[in-house]
Amino acid sequence: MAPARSHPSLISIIGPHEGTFKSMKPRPEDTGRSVEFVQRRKAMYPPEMDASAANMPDVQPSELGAVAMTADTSVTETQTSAPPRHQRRPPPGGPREHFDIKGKWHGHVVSVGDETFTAIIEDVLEQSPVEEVEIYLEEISPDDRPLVVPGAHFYWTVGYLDGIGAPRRRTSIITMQRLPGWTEDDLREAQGWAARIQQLAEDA
Amino acid sequence: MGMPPIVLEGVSVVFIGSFNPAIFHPSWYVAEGLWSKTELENAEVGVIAADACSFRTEQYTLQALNNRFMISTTQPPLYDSLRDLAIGTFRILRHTPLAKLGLNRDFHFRLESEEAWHTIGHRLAPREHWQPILENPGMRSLAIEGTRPDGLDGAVNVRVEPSNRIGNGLFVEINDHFEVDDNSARSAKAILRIAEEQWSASQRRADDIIQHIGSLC
Repeated sequence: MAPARSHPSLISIIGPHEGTFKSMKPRPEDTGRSVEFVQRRKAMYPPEMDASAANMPDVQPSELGAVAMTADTSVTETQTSAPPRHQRRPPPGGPREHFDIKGKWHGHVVSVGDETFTAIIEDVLEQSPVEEVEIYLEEISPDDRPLVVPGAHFYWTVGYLDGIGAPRRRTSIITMQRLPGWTEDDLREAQGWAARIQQLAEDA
Repeated sequence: MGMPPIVLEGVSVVFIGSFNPAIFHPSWYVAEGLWSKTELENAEVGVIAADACSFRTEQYTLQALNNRFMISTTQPPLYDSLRDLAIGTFRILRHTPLAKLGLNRDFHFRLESEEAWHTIGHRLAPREHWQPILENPGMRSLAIEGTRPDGLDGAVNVRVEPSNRIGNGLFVEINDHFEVDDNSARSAKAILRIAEEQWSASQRRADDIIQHIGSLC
């Protein structure tokens, strides 16, 4: 069984996504003429509202309050408000990279060796049998490495990272699951549920 | 025509309930083991106060008010980890009243030309219906609500707009909205169960919706 080895230093490849939430300030109303689909003159953005030039907290509490008053569970992470009219070109500071997922697995650790760990993985995107794989520990970011213990769950994604003006890069990212353990309440509830199922089976 | 390329996307989880924003401090997340210490050491903190909390790391953004909690990322490989962060937070704070949940996705397509960009606008909001009363009408924002397909309370909301991030871009937001009754909203339990059980179906639904809209382009 050959170790499944992919690109080292995986997490660091994915940089921050610039500009998100930088433009939540109300934009001036545009009362100018309309064109076919919605267009906006680039000049509609004063410099201080430019996504790349914003120098303010990402979210103004008063604005968040206004959103929250609607008790709305939607959120627009990458497009912070309806675009003013007359948009032809977006402001600078747009996306630099996009991750195109080609494979995705959920796995759990079976055993841990000195340099590798063995895991059972299940394909999330396609229906295929579970597989046992051996993965180099160096694939795991240093912060996550203490979490690699038998029974631990992780997510494994491979794909292409496309950047503006950059060659396409094949990338693999493994992140360990960080969830709190079961509480006494959870265990009691699970035992109660199991007892009810058992009773139903016996009654049947 | 094929599906236009997605050049930017994100996912977010929103809870509506009653919160103490000050607790969502980076150091709390580290202490509870929910978040990587190294990542939080470099967090950009906007505000952490009694009424509001906002910080961002390289990978996630968290914002909380007294009645709203939101965590998001724009990195597709981290979507499942984002779910864990959201669920993990309220597994620990399990007595937090949670009444509503939004599992949200957003996408920016890049259309191949300005003509294609206009065409999808006209297709979604036919201009002939508006030409008798408006001069040169154009679609600015389209919101569609569907009933939940799973029998749960809530709705599936889709919003389509011209992208304000991408040239010749189309923005699509999908809000998978869930609600529970007042009795169930007294703690986090009912909403967390929905978040855990519906996450995968919600992601698939968003993918289906986006494929469908992409097929119209």
